Amino acid sequence: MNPFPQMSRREMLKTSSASFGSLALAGLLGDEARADRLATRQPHHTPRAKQVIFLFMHGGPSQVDTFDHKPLLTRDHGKPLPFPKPRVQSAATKNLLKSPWKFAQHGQSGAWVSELFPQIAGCVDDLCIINGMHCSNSRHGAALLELHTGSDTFVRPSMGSWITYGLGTENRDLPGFITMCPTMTHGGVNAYSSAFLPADYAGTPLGNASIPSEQAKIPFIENMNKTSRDLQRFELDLIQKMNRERLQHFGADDQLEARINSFELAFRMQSAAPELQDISDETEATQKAYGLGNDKTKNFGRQCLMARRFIEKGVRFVQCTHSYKWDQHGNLKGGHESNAMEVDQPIAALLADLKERGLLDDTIVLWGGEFGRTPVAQGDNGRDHNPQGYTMWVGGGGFKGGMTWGKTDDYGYYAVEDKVHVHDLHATMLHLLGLDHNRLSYRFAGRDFTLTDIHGEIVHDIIA
Amino acid sequence: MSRPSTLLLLVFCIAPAPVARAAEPDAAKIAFFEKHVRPALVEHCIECHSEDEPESKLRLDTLAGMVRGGLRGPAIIPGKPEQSLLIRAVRHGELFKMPPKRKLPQAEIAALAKWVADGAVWPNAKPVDPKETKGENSEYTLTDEQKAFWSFQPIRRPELPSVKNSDWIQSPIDAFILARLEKAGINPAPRTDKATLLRRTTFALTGLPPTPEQLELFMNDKSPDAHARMIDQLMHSPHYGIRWGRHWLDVVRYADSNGMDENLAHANAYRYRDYVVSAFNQDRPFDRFVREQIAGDLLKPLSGSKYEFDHLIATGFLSIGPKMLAEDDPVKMQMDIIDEQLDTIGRAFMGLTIGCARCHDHKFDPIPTADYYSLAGIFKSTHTMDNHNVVARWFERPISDEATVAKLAAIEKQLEAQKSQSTSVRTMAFESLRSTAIENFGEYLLAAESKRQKAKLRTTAQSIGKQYSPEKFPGTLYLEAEKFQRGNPTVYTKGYGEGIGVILNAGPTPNFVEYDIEILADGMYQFEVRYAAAAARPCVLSINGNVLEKDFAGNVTGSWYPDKQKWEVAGFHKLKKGKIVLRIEQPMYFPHIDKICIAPTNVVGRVDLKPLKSDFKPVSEFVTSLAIQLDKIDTKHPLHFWLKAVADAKDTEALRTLAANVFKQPAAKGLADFLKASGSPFQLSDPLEAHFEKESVTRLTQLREEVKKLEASKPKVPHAMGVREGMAADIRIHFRGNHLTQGDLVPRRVPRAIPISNAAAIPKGESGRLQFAKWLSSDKHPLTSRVFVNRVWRWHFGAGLVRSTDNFGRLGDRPTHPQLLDWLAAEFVESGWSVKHLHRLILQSATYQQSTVVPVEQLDKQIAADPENLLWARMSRRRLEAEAIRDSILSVSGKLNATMKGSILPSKNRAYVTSTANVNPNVYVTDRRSIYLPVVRSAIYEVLQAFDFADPSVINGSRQTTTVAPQALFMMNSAFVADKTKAWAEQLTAEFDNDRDQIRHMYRLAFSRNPNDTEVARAVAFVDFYQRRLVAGGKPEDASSRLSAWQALCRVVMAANEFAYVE
Repeated sequence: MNPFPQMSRREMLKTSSASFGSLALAGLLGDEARADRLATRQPHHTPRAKQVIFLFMHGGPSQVDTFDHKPLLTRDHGKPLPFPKPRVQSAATKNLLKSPWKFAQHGQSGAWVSELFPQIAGCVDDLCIINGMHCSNSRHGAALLELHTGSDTFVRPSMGSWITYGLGTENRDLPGFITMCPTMTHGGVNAYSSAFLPADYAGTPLGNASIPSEQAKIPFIENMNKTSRDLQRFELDLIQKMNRERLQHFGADDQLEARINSFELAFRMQSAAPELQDISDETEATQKAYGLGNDKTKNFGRQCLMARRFIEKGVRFVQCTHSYKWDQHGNLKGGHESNAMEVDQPIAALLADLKERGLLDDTIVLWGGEFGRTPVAQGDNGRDHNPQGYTMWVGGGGFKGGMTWGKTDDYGYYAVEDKVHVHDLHATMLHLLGLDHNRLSYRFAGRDFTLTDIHGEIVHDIIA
Repeated sequence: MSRPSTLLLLVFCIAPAPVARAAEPDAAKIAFFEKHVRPALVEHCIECHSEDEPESKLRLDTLAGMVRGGLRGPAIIPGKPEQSLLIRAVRHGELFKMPPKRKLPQAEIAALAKWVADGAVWPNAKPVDPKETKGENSEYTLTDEQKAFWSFQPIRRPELPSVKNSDWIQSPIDAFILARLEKAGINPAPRTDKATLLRRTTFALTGLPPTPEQLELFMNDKSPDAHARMIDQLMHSPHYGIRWGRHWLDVVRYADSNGMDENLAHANAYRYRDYVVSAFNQDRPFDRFVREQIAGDLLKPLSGSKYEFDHLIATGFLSIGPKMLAEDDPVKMQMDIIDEQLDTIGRAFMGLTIGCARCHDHKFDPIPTADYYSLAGIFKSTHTMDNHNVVARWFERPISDEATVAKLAAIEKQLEAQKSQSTSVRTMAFESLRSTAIENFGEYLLAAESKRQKAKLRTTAQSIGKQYSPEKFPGTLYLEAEKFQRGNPTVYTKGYGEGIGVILNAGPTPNFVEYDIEILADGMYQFEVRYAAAAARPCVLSINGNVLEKDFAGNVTGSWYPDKQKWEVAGFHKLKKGKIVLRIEQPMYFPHIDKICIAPTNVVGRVDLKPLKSDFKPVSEFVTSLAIQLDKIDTKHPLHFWLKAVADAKDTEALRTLAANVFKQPAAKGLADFLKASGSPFQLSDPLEAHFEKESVTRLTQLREEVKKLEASKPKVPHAMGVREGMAADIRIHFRGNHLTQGDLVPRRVPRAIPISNAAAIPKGESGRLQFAKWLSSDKHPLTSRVFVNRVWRWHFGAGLVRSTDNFGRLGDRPTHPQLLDWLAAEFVESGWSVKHLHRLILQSATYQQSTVVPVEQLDKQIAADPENLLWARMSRRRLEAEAIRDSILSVSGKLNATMKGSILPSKNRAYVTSTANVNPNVYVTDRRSIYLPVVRSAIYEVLQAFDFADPSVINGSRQTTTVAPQALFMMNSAFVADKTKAWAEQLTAEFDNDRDQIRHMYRLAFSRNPNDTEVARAVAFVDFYQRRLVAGGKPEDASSRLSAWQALCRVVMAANEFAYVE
């Protein structure tokens, strides 16, 4: 296929009437990484995890109805909150509202989980439940962006972009950072864009939140010319022949070579991605376990199954989004019940599957929303946004299993003990991936940027 | 967060506080300190807040340290725990939380507060005078290093350096470049060939490839000024403004939607875009261009009606940035918006990261926090937003002649007046309803109590219909619903009515049925209905025209089918002996009603609380509201006496008597006031217009008509985003950028690091934007012209003389050719800030006209001496930008629609453009130039996104070029390329009947050159072979398969590197 025998760069420079680009030179000088931004990179220290799955619960699940058991909230139901509410609130709230769900302790660790998550409750010995989470903003857009990018004020690279930038990707036939069915509201692309990092690190969206996950595809992966694969290869051969002639005419140039390679990658991706998305090779038992046969669970179930398949193939960062459903200002009972039902079985199946395949040790699984909800009522059957204290959980990838970390106050409003800010969570995740959050920086417009800005402390106590 | 300590002398006064006394010998207080306070401080605080480099410069190991405080001011004010930052911090208040990770036990917090309240007694401490307190200040001096920093130096036009190879010089620029090359011992690259030069120049000035006609003309034009004339011709084309306007739009983060959290359409932003394009086309002097964008509304318009509104539209620059429109803290929102403006202004015009000084003095550049807030004061005195609510609203101004704008303003004022009249009519009518209700409060109590009791009965009463038999329940009327005398529903005995027979709708609405029935005896009757409903369809039940129930059969039973048919007790009503007409009505459709049962009952008592005056008609909404309140009250509620009375009353008459004298009851003291205040059951958000007296209703209708007429008479005036003057006022320094901790008031003024002698002071009552704009666009400003000529250089060469185009501060790069930069800046200013003049200088230079290819014999030397091509010994090969790639595909395929101006964004202004779903992709289906594609923040068109379009949320003067697989997928697979290559192939095959000529034409169009014979032969072979393969695959051997083969060649040509790169 290649009309030219392999020549070394130097030879090529010497033999042709050559010129060069600065990148070619970087190559010559031995800095290949500059030319290939997605090459696997050495982390700063020995990593505990290699990959990440982020299960994003858009809207903000309520901590006091899921993982943060508050007996006093039940006891004092209907009474006023005995301490002040925050100065900034998103809506007017009333008195304490007890959880409509019962809590019980589970696993050897005895972690509290409400009856909303009967199946995840069976996995608690693999999870670290962080009950003292807090973030900076009480509005969806800002909090969502802070969770994804570290900033609730400005457009910054997504954590998936930072991680791909830090570690490169292990499978050149697939994107390094994939986000399935991302929401286009509350920040949209900004939640997975690479902002000022090179586009190589941007999340590749599969569909969006309004598209059923089984129809979600990589942009332009489908051939709109309806050309057969053979003929497309034939076209590609001519393109590459012309490109190589040009290259020989001008001499080595990394930009031009990179473009030649990108067409080959695209061609491979075109078959790799649909193959990976065709799940017919999964056993019936597996499909059932993820809830694919059930209308209620199949959408998120497929996302979870795809996450496992992508992780298996070496994709660095995979995000599944359970779209804007958790925002129960009203209808807490019905809403949370339905939402939990949609994700409980798929998530439990994912955790079990990863564990069985030995993938959980190397993969961080992160679960949570952009904030939690207030223990006080909005209306009669609802809760308002609460960034002051809420729950997220992590599993695998070097986190301690069977642990509950941090506390909110007696009613679950404010984080009070072993608080973990979103910045701290980011710093800890990077740490487990072998990256130092202070050193993983990028200079843009004369300033060194990091995911955690000037913040972030590693939470060593939750590392195994 | 430490600052260069040489920068500032810190002197700062806080509000006077009592001098903290050393401990009066008070053993109890000392003991308290030793027992409760010192241990807490030692355990939790002093690790970070003691002697060596204390955090935030705050020491908590001495009383002096506490009282004098750190960067945020004093930690304690003895005697005032509520005002003491220490106490606010340990309480984990909003401002900040200490210790950061773990809140102290409640007892320790209480102890610290008590200690401060008791005067903060600290054993053996000397008195501390808080006046020595340190804090931020506004004293300010430049260090020598800052004074000498290159970009702050005045611009002086340097002498042209002398060179050996003076023949090479074509433009003064070349002397600077060549002098450096000669010093390094490198020869410049040879001049590029003519065709390449044309392709390079055409893309540079218009963003489009040269047409074959332009190519032929230029190749045949042997005159020495052929290139110069071509430059002028290209700059004369309207496509020039599109190309260079788009560059500027990168710098000003242009977008057609807000992005961020609330992605609302900027449906009027395009006027600013059109303004930018036309300003470049007119070669508007750049200094004027700067002033218009910052303070156009305060300038005189340019003469000529074409430009009448340019100066107003230009201020859109300040408003089109991304904003968090849903922020619960309005002050934070406003300061964030100002910050975004300052950050953009600083970097776009001066290459200064002013935004860094929001929280602390700039760590690298001479911008103290005080100067940041001086500038912030200017923009806080500017009206950018109409409000800072959730969701906030940005300001827009009408763009029309004065008379029309005045007319519009007058109508809007009238509308305001009408609206306030309507409001006052409504308020007064409602007040009158309310006071009548209060006067008749006894009646309302009785009515509400009746309602409550009936509701109670409805849930507790046994259904008779369920167990009906004529023997068991004599005197009961048991009706099949379908046996009505009059009505319009359909009778169903199948499906929904299988086995029972129901009535349901079959078309005409409203639905109604009437039954003629006879009541056998006077008395109280229980009304029941059996029905099925999957959705609530409440009906009105009436007898002889009197409404009895408004939510008859109004619940959801689970489905429409017989298995969900349920009996329901609907109400209790007194009926008289005799014939009656029972009517059921629904404004739309009936639920599926099976039976109705009216049974005599001996349920009596409180259900039947007769009104005091038999004809009294209460306002039903008040009754409902009162009933709801009665259901919820506790013992402290002023109406609690009534519940007690209801529980204790022997009969209904006792309650009626109580109601008649309700205000005279001792237990009801304060009741009248309560009913007037907020929290009263008569305080409703609904004004209850339906109950108004006729007079008010007539007046309101009349006012509504007038409003409608006024709305219709509004002249259709276009609006533009922008700013106007607001309330002029200075603001205070915000410690660490937080508006909750404020320091000194600082005057509005321009940054002091760049004093310009004739910069005018800001008069009282003005924001200072005008003075700031004049200072910024002054001929003497050291940054504005340097930064802009460097941008132009970057856009022509792919890299700036200062590589960091948006940062000319200490963290930015130094210029590779400082003299050349200054010469260009001086020349630019002297030419009257003419951008076109700058292009001529650059494009006509030998430097620009070099080849990208370095002769082989010079290669090693150049690699050694100038590996990064910092000295410009050749031209850089560059990939086309996203827009140029798309526009080239359109242009080459003959599909380009050259229409200028206007917007194709289909959204209404301020409407949401994205939801959980993306923008409707149809908005991007257009053949117009890419600058006119809607720029939807946080959902950028995937084609632009794939090819490194600048993120429209931040300024970007130097786009990156990445090479990623989605770009290749786009070229190979996208509908856009499929469409355009098809159109191109059709056009080519229609125009040519000779394959070889056709291929030559394709090369000229796509690559601006003629193909050699091998290339032609190869292309012909490709098309032949491709068609054969199609035919082998079952396609007919005719023109259609031939066309498909040509289309494949078109795809190949457009995908080739040569198409996407400019040499």
